[in-house]
Amino acid sequence: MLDALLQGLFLVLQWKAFAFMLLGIVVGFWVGLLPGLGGATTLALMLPFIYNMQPVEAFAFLLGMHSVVATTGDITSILFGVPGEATTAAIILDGHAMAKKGEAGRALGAALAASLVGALIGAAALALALPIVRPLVLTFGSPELFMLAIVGLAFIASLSAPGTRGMLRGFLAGGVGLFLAMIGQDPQAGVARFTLDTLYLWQGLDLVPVLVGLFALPEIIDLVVRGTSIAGNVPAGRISRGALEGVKDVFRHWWLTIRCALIGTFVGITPGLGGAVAQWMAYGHATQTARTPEERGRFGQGDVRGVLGPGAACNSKEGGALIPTIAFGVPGSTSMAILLGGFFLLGLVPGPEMLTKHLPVTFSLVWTIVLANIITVGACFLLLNRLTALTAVPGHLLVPVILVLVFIGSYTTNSSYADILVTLVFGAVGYFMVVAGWPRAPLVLGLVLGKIAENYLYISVARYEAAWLARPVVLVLLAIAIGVILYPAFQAWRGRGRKAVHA
Amino acid sequence: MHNRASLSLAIAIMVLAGWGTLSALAWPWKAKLFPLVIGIPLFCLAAAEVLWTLFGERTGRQAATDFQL
Repeated sequence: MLDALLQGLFLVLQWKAFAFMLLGIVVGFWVGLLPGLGGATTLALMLPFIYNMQPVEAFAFLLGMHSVVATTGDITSILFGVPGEATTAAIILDGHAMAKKGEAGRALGAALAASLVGALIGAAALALALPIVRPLVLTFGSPELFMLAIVGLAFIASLSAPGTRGMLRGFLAGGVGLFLAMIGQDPQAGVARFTLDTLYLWQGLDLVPVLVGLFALPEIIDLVVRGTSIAGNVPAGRISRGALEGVKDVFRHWWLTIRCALIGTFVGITPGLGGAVAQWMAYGHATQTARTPEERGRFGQGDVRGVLGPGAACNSKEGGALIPTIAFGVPGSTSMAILLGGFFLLGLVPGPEMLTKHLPVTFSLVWTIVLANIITVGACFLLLNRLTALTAVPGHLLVPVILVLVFIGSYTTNSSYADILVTLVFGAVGYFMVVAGWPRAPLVLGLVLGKIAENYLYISVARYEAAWLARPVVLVLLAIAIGVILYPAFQAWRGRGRKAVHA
Repeated sequence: MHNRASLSLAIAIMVLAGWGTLSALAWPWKAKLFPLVIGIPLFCLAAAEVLWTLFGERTGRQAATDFQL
């Protein structure tokens, strides 16, 4: 085992594999920065180039590219509130709020360091879990996966706004997200649902135009109205100074970072949940660490824990997602499905052979994730001053550039003008939600989880009828969901009790 | 402004959920299962929000865990 681990490292360090990894990192770096052009799309675009490569070189290139996309996607999310990737939207909530307070450096430092920790934990999980994960994954059937989706939604809906009223609004936003996910052709019966007789809506709403509209447009309106730079009147020199503080934050909240990285790994391992879910679950978990309602109120206003959680989960999920892909040939996400195509192109068959005959190649994937993330985070820290300086650029100069990014990002998703219309509509919805004090995170999670949840609910009901509700893991997950919903009420009650004692 | 925006959103969701649920009734069960499971509770929650906004205690702006304008 140790021999294979070292062999894997040497394979990646061969000049050709290393050069391809660097090339992949450069491509992934820019893809991550550009909203709309997702990691999965780029993987698919790059797949034809690996035909003549050796397996280690090909995976160094593909995985090197893929594993840095989330890291650099965090940068635009934090600096401009424009999610560079669908998987980096959760970090906007606190990361961009910190940038607006003039703490862009600290937010980026925290996000990058947490990303690195997450990637290392994900890679370690991949290395360690390969032999033992099989029984765990196999205990999760459709009913359990449906309940897992519900738990994720309960996490975000109940924790994203304070009080019972906030929770109600959280669930409403989550419900709207689930409802929007139903738009398009129904996968079971082929019925066109809520398509308003337009061909565009037959394939459903794409996540990127919705995300960009919901999060970026209200921010742009805010920037125009304020008439200042993103960081307001904070002196430009101060903005990048907190980077080291951000790194220290990872160590201050090391246990939270590790827990969120483990959440990301687990979501990555679970087939069908996808990367966008991991960061929201981690954000929900980070929010839950607040001991009092007042402390929870600080989330969304620029609490560094809201950056650490999604940052760590976003990168750790890659290592997790590789586990079922390599071990069973079951991809955990779209990107992994494309990567699986790469395995077959190169003549490798995922399964037991990858854990025996091709074990050094498998470990070379682990090392690629580790090295690619170390190099990317290092490069980001070198560029940090220039990146954070963007938050000091006056709004009237920045807005046109961001607007171009936003609309290019929306348009490139499907090369359809209708995507731009969707962005504008959801920009208006996002603006209304912000004005009304409604949380937007549950809407996004509902949209992400909707299709998955519907599919698993249908299979559960069709296969087990009502009996799926009595499965032990389902009951445990149901109890967790109820606990998550009741926890804020319990916290508020305890807070009132404490106040009464002090009075 | 805050309450009016909230009321508008809640009414829009009520209309959306009501329309979705009624439309779903005409579909085969495979296609209508999820819309009904989501649409009916969504309608009730939106109605609760409307009633709360109209008749509930008027409080100051409660910020969501989200950034604000």
